[in-house]
Amino acid sequence: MEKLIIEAALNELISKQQNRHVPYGPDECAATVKECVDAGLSFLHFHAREPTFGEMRWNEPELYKAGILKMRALGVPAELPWYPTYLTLSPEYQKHVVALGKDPEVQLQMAAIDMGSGNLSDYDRPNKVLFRPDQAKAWSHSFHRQFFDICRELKQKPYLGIYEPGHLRSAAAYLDMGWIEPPLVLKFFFSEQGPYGMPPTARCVAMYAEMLEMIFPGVPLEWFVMAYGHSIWDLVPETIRLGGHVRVGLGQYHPWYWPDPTHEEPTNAEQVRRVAAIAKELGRELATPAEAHKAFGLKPLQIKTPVAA
Amino acid sequence: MAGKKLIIEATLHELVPKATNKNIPYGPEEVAPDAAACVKAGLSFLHFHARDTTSGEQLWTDPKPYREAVLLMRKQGVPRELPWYPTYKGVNAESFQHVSTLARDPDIQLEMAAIDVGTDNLNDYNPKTKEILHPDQVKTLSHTGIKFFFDLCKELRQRPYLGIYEPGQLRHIGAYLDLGWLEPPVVMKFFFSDYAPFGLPPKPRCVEMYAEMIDMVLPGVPVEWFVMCYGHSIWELAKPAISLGGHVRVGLGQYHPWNWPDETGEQPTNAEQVQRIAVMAKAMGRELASPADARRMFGLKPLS
Repeated sequence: MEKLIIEAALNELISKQQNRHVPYGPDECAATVKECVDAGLSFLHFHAREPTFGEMRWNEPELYKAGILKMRALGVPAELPWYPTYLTLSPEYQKHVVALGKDPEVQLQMAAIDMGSGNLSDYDRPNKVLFRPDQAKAWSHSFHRQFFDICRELKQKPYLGIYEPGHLRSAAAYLDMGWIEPPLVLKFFFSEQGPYGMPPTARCVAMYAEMLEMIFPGVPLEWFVMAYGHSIWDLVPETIRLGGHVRVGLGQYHPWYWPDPTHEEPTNAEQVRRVAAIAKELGRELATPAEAHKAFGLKPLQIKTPVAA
Repeated sequence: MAGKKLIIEATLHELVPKATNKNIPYGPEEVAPDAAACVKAGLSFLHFHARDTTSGEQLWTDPKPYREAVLLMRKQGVPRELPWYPTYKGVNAESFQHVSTLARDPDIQLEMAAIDVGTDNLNDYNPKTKEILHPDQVKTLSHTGIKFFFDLCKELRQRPYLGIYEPGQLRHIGAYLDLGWLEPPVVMKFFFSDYAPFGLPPKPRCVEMYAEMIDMVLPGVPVEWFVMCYGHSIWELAKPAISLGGHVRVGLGQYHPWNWPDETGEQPTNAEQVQRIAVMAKAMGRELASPADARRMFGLKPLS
C-alpha cells in the first residue's frame, strides 16, 4: 500500500489557555514542526499568529516566511508541503498567498479551500447552545471557480476540504469542466463539535472510501481524514487500513468555543507519534516530506535544504 | 422490516411542463383525477403545486387551486385522510399565507409542511455542455431560518416533512430534536439526483449508507424516511429503500430533467410510477400503507 502521509494542523484558532503547547509565533511553530517531522510528519498547516498573544494575523506573509525559514534552519526539509490560512478570497486577504507563492525562498505550492456551502455552526450539547445559528457558509460554484483561477495563476495545488459527500460530486464536476486537475488532494472533515457531515465514526470513513470509488474511478487522488475533537482516534485505524492519510494537530483537537472537558494537553508531536505507532502496527510505512510532495504532484523546488547537523 | 407498511408518495408535477411529458397535470381538474388514479394504484402520500390550468405557470401561494384540487379529488374517491403538502416560494410569513389559509380551512385541514433542510449548492450540471446552471446560486437556510419555519409549523399544527440533501442535515435534525425545535416522529426524505452533483451518489449502496447513518444519528427516535431521486435512478434506489424499511417517493415532478430535454423520450404517468413501486413491494413481500395508515405513521391527529 501507498505510504502514509501524516499532516498536522498546529494551532488554528486554539489558545494557550486551552492547551499550553499550542504554538503561536514563528519560533514556536518552527520548533514544533521540527519535533513533528522527527515523529513522522510529512504535510503541514499552520496559521500566522502574533507571538505573545496568539492573535490571528490572517494575511501577513512575514510571519509565515519567518516560520518556514526557521524550521528549515532546524533541519526540516524544504520539500515539506504546507499551506497557510485565508479569511476570504478578496485580494486583500490573498496578499500573503501571492507573496509566499512568488517568494523564491519560500515557494508556497499548496492552497486549501473548504468546499461548498453548509451550516457549520458548533453545537454545545450539554448547554443546548447552537453557536451563531444565523450564519450559513454560502460558497457558490462560481466562488470556487475564482479560487481555482487564482491557484492556476500562482501554480498552487488546491487542497479540497470536503464537509459532505455532495462536495465530492461537485469536485467531479469541476474536474469534468477542467477547473481542477488530477491528482486530487482531498480532506474529509468530521466533527464532534458541529452537527454537520457524516458522523465521526470508523464506518463513515469506510463509506467515504467507497464513495471515492463510485465518483472518481481511475482518478489519481490522495485523501485525508481529520476530525474536530477526540474521535480522530476512532477514525485513524480505518483510514490507515483503507489507504487514506491522516491529519491530526492541536488546532482541531480541542473545542474552539468552550473548554475541553477532558483537560488533555497533548503536544502536536505526540499526536503525530501516536499516528506513526498505529501505522507501524498496521504495517503501513510513513511517507517522507519529499514523498508527500511527489504524491501531490508538486513541481520540484529550486531551494537548497540546509543540511541538518 | 417485518410489519412496517410501505408508504408511496408521488410528486405530481413540480416545475415540469407538458412539453416534457404530456401526462403532467396542471390545474385542479387534472390534478384530482391524477391523484385518484395514483391512490387506486397504491399512493398514500401526495405532493403537488398550485399551477395555472392552461399555462402550467406556478401559482405559488394561491390557496384556491389547492383547495379546489383537494375537494375535487375527494369527490373522485380519494380518502380524506390522505396526507399531502403544498409548496412555498421561500421561508417567510408571506410565502406561508396559503399554508395558514389551508390549515385553518375546516374543509381542508392541511397538516403537513415540507422543508428542505440546510445550506447547499444544488445547481444542475449538464455534462454534455459541461455547464453548471446558475452557478452563483446557493440554497441558504440557516439554523435560525429553520427555527422560524418550525415555529410556524407549531403555530399552525403542521408536521414538518424534512428534506435531506446531505448526511450533515441528519445531524442538524439530531440537534433540532435535542433543542426541542422538533418533535418525533421525524418524517424525512433523502434527496438523490442524477442531474445535480450534490448528496450521496444515486446508487443502491448509498441508500444502505443513509439507513445506517439514521441508526447512528437518531438512535431510538421514531422515524419514517423516504427516498426520492431527480432522475431515472429512482428505480435502482426503490429496492433497497423497500427492503430496509424506508418509503418511496416517485412522480413526474422529479423524473424528468427541469433544465434540458429528457433524452429517453419516456412519458410515463404518475399512476404508472406508483403501480411500478406497488408491484416491487409485492414481490418483496412488503404490504402497502393506506392513506389512513400513513397518517398514523406520521403522528397526525384524527381528522375532525
